[in-house]
Amino acid sequence: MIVAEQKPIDELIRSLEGFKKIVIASCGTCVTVCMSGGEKEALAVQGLLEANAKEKGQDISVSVVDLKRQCDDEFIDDLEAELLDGDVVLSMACGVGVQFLAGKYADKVVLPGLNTTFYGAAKELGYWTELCAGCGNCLLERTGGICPIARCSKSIFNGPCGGSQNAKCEIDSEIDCAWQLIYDKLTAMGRLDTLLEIHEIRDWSTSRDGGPRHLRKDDVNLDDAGK
Amino acid sequence: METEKSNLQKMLEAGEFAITAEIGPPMSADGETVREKARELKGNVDAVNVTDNQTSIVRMSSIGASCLAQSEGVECVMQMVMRDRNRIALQSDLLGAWAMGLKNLLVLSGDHQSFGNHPGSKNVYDVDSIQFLQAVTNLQENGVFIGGSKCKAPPHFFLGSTTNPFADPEPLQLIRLEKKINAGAKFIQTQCVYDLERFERFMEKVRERGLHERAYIMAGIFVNKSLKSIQMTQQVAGMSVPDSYVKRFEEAEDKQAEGVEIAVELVKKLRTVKGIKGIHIMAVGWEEIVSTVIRQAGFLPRPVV
Amino acid sequence: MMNALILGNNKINAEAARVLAESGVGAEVLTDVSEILKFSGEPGGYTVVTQDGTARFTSVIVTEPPRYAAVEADGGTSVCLADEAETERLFDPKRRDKILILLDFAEETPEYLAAKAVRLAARLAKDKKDVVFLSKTVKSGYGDGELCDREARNAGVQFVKYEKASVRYDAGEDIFCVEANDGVFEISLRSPFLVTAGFEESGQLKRIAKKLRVRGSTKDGINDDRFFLYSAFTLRRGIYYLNPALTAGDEKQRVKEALQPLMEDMASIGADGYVREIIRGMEIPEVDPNKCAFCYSCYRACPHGALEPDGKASAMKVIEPLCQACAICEAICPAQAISRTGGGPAPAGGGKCKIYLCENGAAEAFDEILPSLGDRGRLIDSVRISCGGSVGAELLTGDFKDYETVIVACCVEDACRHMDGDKRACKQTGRVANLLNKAGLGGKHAHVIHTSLAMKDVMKEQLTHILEESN
Repeated sequence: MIVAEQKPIDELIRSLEGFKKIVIASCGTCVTVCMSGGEKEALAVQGLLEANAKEKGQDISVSVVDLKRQCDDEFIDDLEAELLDGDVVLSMACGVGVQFLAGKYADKVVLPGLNTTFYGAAKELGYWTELCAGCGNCLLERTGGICPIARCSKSIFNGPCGGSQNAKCEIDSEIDCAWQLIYDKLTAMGRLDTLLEIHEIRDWSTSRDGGPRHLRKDDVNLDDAGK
Repeated sequence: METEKSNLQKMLEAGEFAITAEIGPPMSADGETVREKARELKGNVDAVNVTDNQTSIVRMSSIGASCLAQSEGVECVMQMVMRDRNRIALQSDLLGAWAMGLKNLLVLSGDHQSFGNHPGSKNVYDVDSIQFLQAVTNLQENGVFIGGSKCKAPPHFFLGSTTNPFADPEPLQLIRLEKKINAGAKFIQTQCVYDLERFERFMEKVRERGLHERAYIMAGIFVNKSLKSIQMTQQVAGMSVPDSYVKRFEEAEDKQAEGVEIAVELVKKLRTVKGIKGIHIMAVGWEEIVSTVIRQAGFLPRPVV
Repeated sequence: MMNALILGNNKINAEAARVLAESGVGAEVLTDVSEILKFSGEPGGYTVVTQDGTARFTSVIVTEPPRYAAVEADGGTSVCLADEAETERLFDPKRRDKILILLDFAEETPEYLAAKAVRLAARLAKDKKDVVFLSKTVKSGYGDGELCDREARNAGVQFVKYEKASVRYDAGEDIFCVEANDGVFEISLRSPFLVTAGFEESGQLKRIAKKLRVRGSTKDGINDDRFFLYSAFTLRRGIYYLNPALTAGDEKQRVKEALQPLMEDMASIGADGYVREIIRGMEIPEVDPNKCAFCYSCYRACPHGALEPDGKASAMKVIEPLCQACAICEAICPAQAISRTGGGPAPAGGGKCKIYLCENGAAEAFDEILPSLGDRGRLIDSVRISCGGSVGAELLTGDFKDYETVIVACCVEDACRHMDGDKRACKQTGRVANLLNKAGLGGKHAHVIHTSLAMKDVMKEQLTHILEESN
């Protein structure tokens, strides 16, 4: 899932300077699960904004609108009236949701409440790590299901580098050395021979380097203009 | 096109025990410091590595500094890290470097940018070191660029890379060394050695795989100047420094002399390890001491081949 | 009639079954947890489904021993500490060899095991054995809080605190060679008797815990001695852990002693069902399936295993008989899908300070000291909560609209009846305290007080100090 982190509260307060009627739009999907932008978090931000305003003697109103998803029209349409009843929308969705809202309402100021970071999963309650780089050409078959692009700090394809120590990456001891993981996994699978092959130079054009990507399902999407 | 082989290549191929040192280019555009360091090392070593933005700190480019050093009559080993340039820029620099008369090339991954003074920079790593070694070999032997187009006059660098006998996981580091040699590395410089026992165990495994006969392996050593220096060295990820060395520095009255003594000892011991064809001395920031170490270890004058 | 399922691969199973039978409790033995296809139910009525059919049990007694790893030696291992039977050979009157007791070797030895080691050392020394006790830390009080190592020292045990140690087994001479370095000196010891307490999590024990939905704490997983090894109880009523290796005496006696408190508790559950201790006034939470994001956060956080997925609704639901209304799930749920009828924030009472009081001691302590706080006491609006861990960040931040200071008073570490509620209170409140600073609300304060009825005087001091500070 997409993992995002709430922006520091002082940054949010600064970006909302001057707005009197703030609508916070929480999102009920990924950012709820990673506890950054769900209704609960939105309520906490509401509390802090109101307390901060009171402290400064400012008169603002802050409401929270909980959208199950912010990347599909129908979910937003249902609560449109409440959503647009303010002079700014602070979207607590991932970057996708923020842009979706901003694109849907041409004249509305939509501000991001989160910093979207990575595709990942929970290792344990409350702890998520990055797993996928969205490279567009999955090579997991060759590395025992562990992605060297996303999980090796240097995205090395023939790793590890000389800085792997005690199964940790030299730049941050919280990061597992991806190549140690790949090595362990391939050893357990009895496929260590694959590591002697030189993993050839990558064609990065399928990843973001090749430009923004899109997916069109030809049998479902009726727009011929795409062809 | 026949070009004369580099001095380093000739030394190693003739079976001489080669000595290389290292220059860290300045963090400025002042070329004079490079010339000075080159003059210090002239005649004392067979070639000098010129680092490429080591530890992700912006320094004068390896190409630029190498050309300056060579103009002083010192042969250089240009270094190229994979961190900063994509395949277009890397290949372009290869062509330029060769045209400027540089003959030796060391390919390495490079420290992650978070270690240096520009931690916010974009992480390139378009190709990794092994992929690039393979690409350079392909260019030099077949005249073909990575993208497939032809190169009419390819370079002919004496190609090398690095290995770390002290990093984890050891079996994988050996596989990686073999891959580098398979990809075309002709000489290998190791991470600095202090822990001779562990190094000897590593070399045994290297010899088992016959790697010492397919590439010239040079053992790296570092010359420490002070107690702080050796303590910091011990902290570096991928280094193995037994406490006994730190203790020697603690107890020594003349720390610098102790540093030289330790380096000379290590050089002499590494000379006897089977499969080691040379020494790479890293005394970054203290280049003046290299000639002292080499002389005391008995390697002067350098043979001419 | 009460009956128990004895679960685990342990030679004491037969004896345990016999002791239970003597007291009129039926018992069945299952050595391998993978035979259990489904486990469900509540204390007093656990349902176990295996290939042989379905059975109901009043309770489950887990006997699988944690694995105590020994120092490796070809052909023979060192004497393991936890298994009393093996340590008996140390008392062989014919052998005069030195006995080496080596703790903290692979990892830090848990305290209860270290205490056992010291008691063993004392016994051996009193039996005229020459004992060297090596450990990385010198603990002056073990387990019961007594200075039992003084007894060992007086008996002649030599204590060595080491920084680094290595062990080698010489198969030819059948002897262990221990080299230890205490930072100054090198010590070399040789003996055929090496007692160690290397301690490994048993994979089987973890599998049992998972099947029974017994939660380990955040501290040490299943090894946390508070929940699985030290006390006879897990937080799941009716599921017990029996580890007679921890007591002294002969096997029969140890099993009987260890089963005593288990049987007493079983009787309290009774044959008719299970009387749950719910704090008065606390409601069982409910999950709104429309809001539930099905993220499993509550399932993972619940200390009592009282949540399970409701397949039909694609949401979680509360297992009422197991729920103890601690409401930690309510605080954790990121979708605000869990709530209680009658719950919700208390209206502002006009005070300057709000205090949440956990019902496991903080509330009682507060009641006792409130009169002595005088005028200051009138500044405090108090709310009773089931557990410190139930106060989430959004609740606290909402409070700061109306209050200068918010305090969460919860249990002292180890006293929380809901596993890590005190730790959660600290983390949740700590997060809010950080946010307050960043939100320009530096004049507001969020505090956590760890307290109990016995500590009411300390609580009074702390409250007085906090109230003074906010003035």
